[in-house]
Amino acid sequence: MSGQGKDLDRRQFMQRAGKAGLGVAAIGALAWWGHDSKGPDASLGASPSVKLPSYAVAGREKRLAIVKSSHRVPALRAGLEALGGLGAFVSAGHRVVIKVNAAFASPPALGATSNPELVAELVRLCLKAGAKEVVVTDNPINDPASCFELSGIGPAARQAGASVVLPHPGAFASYSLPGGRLIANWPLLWGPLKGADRVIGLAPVKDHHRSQASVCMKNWYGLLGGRRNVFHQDINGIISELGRMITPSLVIADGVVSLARNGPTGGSLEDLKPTGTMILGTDQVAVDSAAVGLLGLKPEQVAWLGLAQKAGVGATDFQSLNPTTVELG
Amino acid sequence: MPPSLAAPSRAQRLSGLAVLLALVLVAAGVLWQQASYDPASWGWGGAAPGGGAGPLASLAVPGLEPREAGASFDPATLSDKIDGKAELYLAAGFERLYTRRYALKGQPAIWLELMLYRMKDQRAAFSVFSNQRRPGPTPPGLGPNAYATSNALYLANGPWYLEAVASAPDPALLKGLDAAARAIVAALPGDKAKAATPGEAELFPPQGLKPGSQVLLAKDAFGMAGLNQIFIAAYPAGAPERIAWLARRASPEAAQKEAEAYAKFLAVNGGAQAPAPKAIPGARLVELLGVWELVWPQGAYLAGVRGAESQEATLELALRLHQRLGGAKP
Amino acid sequence: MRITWARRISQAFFLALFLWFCVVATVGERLWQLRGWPVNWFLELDPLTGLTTLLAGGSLYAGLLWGAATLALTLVLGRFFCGWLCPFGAMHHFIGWLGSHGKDLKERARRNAPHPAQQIKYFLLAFFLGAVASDLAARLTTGQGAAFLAGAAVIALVLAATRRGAGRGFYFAAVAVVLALWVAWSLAAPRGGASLLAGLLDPIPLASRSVNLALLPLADSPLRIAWPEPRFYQGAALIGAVFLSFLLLNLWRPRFFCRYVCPTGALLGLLARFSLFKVGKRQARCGGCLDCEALCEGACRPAGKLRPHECVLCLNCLSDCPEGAITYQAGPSAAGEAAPDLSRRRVLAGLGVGLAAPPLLGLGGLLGPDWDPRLIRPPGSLAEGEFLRRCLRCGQCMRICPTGVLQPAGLSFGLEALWTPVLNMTIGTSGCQPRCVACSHICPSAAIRPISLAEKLGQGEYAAEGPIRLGTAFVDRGRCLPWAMDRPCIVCQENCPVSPKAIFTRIAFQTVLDGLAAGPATGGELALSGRALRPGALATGDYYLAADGARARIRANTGATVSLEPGPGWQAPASGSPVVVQVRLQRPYVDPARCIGCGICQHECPVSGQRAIRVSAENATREPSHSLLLKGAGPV
Repeated sequence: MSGQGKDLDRRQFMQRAGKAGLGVAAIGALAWWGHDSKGPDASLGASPSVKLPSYAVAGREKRLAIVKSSHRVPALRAGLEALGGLGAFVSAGHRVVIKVNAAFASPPALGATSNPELVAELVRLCLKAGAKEVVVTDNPINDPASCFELSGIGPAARQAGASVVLPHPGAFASYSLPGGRLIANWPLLWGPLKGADRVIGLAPVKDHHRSQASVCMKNWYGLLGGRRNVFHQDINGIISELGRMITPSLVIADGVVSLARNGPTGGSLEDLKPTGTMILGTDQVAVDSAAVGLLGLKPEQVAWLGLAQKAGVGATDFQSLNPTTVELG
Repeated sequence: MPPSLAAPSRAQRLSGLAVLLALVLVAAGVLWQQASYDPASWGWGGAAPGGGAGPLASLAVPGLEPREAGASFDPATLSDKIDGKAELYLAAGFERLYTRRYALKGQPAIWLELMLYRMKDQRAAFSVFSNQRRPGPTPPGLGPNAYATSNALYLANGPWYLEAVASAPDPALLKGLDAAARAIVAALPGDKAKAATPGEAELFPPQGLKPGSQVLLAKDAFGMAGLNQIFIAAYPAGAPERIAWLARRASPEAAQKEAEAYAKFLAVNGGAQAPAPKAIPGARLVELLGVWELVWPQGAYLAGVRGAESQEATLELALRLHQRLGGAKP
Repeated sequence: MRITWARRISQAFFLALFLWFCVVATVGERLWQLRGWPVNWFLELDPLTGLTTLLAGGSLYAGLLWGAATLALTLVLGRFFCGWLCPFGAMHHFIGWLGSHGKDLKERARRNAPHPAQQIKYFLLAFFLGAVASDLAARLTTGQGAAFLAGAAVIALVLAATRRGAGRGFYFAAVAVVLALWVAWSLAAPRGGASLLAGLLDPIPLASRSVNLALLPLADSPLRIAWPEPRFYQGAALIGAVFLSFLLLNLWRPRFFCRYVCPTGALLGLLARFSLFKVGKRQARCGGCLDCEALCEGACRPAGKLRPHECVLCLNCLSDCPEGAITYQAGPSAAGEAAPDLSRRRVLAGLGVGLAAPPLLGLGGLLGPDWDPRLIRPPGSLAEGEFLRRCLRCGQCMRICPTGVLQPAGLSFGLEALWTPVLNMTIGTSGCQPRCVACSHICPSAAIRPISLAEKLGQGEYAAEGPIRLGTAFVDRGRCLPWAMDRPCIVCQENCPVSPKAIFTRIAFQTVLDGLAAGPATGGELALSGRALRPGALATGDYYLAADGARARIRANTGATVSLEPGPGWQAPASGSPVVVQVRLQRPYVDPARCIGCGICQHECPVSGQRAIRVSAENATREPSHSLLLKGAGPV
């Protein structure tokens, strides 16, 4: 056996045994790490889709502030103060996504889109509260670049220090609302939401041809891609599903001036109505319920509010939240 | 490299430098080439010549310059441009939308947008025009279905509906709006008669009629599915405002059937039938949530009055409408 | 500065430029998108692309004129293109250098010694030129251009020039006989088409195709610079395998492709024999250290009788000769030069096989009775025969296509169509976008001729011709949901981008539940008996209750009741009378007079495997003989 003519001494033997042992251990570890006694289940190979977390801030549920003012920026500051300050929502290092309404390439004066000064102020306040990054986004299907430029939102947000994210094909991911009827395997504007710590909705109060009113819940419509106009057939259903889809950190309904008719596009300054109110809160159903009052509607007249309440998104009886009311004049 | 190598000759060094110079020239040429390009030559994006903006493609507006080549939208893409508003146009009978922006010369931030809708017919155009009517004076020379607001101008003409919206109420821009509207009306094919309102809208009794309140509801009027092509008009005297409405159907039988269906719809929604006035044959009177609804068929017409809090006020307007329809040739 | 460093810089520069052009060939105007970057420049500089498309297609399209500059400069400088400019050559050079690492001088000299296999590239060149020559013959005989006579003369001269002395006369005679024969034969033989085969091995189209369709999609998948979404190319593995094989063979022999395969190198080599400046020796004898042979890229024997047709001007010999014995000069080498040692019979064989190839391919009938309806070509493509006479298979159109619907044809489309662009409606992000003509403008050889949007859409001056049709969509009624499965679906109709739509629907009511009897009606609810319903299953708005020829839409249902929305003529059925549940279907039809074959319907069809509506090439504008419609016929 010993071709070397010399027996292994104890030390050599131990070395070789040690090496062999290491090899055996390595093979064993690799096999153990890779072993699967059950075999793959049916989910293996299913198409990947994203899941949306809740962006709500713990301990801040069911807050509502109603500010009476004819100026947007002071109203925003006062409203946030009434909710405990933006610092209660945004902390150092946070990545904040502000979903604006930039659906149309229409000038800011016509009130069909989020007010650029308001967007800029909110961006600045978020950064001041320590946010690491503030992303302003929306998916206006037709010509997003023009929509952000002409509505004034793009330049204002960038100047305030936000990054403006326009939709592009790679930014969409397939999403299904758990238990949803309409939002199933639908493209969602996931790119800007990925890694977000806080999501804030900032929408103007508008009349809507199809759904009577468009405020914060309808605003999430801009996170959908694809041929989303099919949802206009069941507008109330889609708005209530949108409310279930996004659980925001905070929503802000800007009704300092409302688009009182011919919405959601408007077009004439005569379509606007000074309603002098900004509503901020963490319950989007309550915020929207308070906001539709500015359009002369009662919450029970608006079908999607009822559906959303039934689905547990929030309360249409916004007074039950004991809103803080601030009068700035 | 072996150390024994001789230093490169002068010729070799110069040739090397010449080659590097050539490379610099090539790089400069490539950079120049990439900067001096005509995106139109690649043919993507922008509108096709004479295609994209349709009738607006060749429209020149005095004092303004085009800000873009313009675009157009069909029924499938209309909501990309106007989102939820699209349903109003689609229900009325929409064919195509042409849009183009113009700006004051040298001031691209002061602009207006022309949105020219091609509807199925004159009724469809009147429907979308009347449904969105805002208060504002009618500028002379643009036909009866036109009005101007502080920053915009709207008009219906034949199967066309124009929205001209300025980004700000700038006087020079408003002059441009007016000029653009006139240029478009002049360029539209068809005679001036087409600018008139559809016949039914003229049948409402003139006394007490709120001027410009005639609206054509294209689809699902008063919340009833299938109640289509209904003309309404407002009579504000006395509170609350009364609404007279009418529609012409293909046959007296169809009108009769629809009158019954509407009465049934009211009943299903909690209406209480009351004895109908004898003066209007076939009429049904329903009280719903404290206001009165009267509906009747009259030949091929289907007519009604709604919104009054008293039977008397309802009947007063209904009788006048009944009389007008009696004299009208269906 | 040593001249070899200038060469290395030049090679690195042009390789980087080539790769940059591949990256920026994306529709768009940002700095890293197309803008005005001359992305076809390398394809145009390659003289073989110009020469073969000139002979096969009859013209030297646009930028292909650059190839003439390359040829002209080669007559002055020698094969500068191979050693200094060619990006594919630079890749071979670099990998060959890696492979020579650590080998001793003798071994390196052995690997760089001239080898008889270097003849192969000339035979391949003869083959490719022979293949396009039948087109030339056809043109000459139809009197299309005296210019082509000049082309033929160039080929004859070039071939004859590879022989010296007494053999030359014989060669001229042989060439003349062959030319006469194939002119006569081509007239009698069926037109082959698919004659432009050079693109398969032409170095720039090969490298361009490989980088565009294999390398870049791999590199870009995490980066998303070149495309917003990961790109797929059918059969990219084969394209990549050919590319990698040629790269790896450099480890066995440096510049394997350049020495043995490259037909462009062969063409340039034939000219380089006559170039003004050449590498040569100052004196006949030298120390014989073999340093030069060990470094020689072209395997052209710089230490002995130099072969100028093989020399790629790497100038390693000149730079590194310890005696300074090697120079680059206008006169001949002091040690003499060797002419190409080409077997006359083999060259003729290559030419003959080339001549025979297109008619042989033509026997397959791809251009005749067995035309492949899957061959849906990009908008602006020439008729198939002309298309195959021009397509370089460079992959530029597939690279720039914004949706990735343009794909390289695999072997299943026939040898002649290998790697030419074909529309695959399922692999990309959509079908052919109506408002895009990018492929027609990037095509370097006008196999896809440049078209304007107006022409594509049939607007303006093209209104009479109508839009360009790529094919026609056909509904597969055995797979279509409303046709085969009583399920409502109008996705194809909704997505049709043509206005007015080329897909229309006809409404059909199909009974899906029978054996039901009406029960008592209360309010808007009607009780049903006979069988149980699945609660809520009929609430989609597509289901109707039918009785006595009238229908009412079902708004909602429980297990035993339905809530109805009455339609015209609907009377609540008497209790106990039979009723059925019907589904309202909108069944799609295609109007062939309107369909442009863009394939968007096919891409969107929810039957996700083999789609229930598919485009095939019938009625494509480019092939009038495949028309489906007699002009002016039809109900409207």
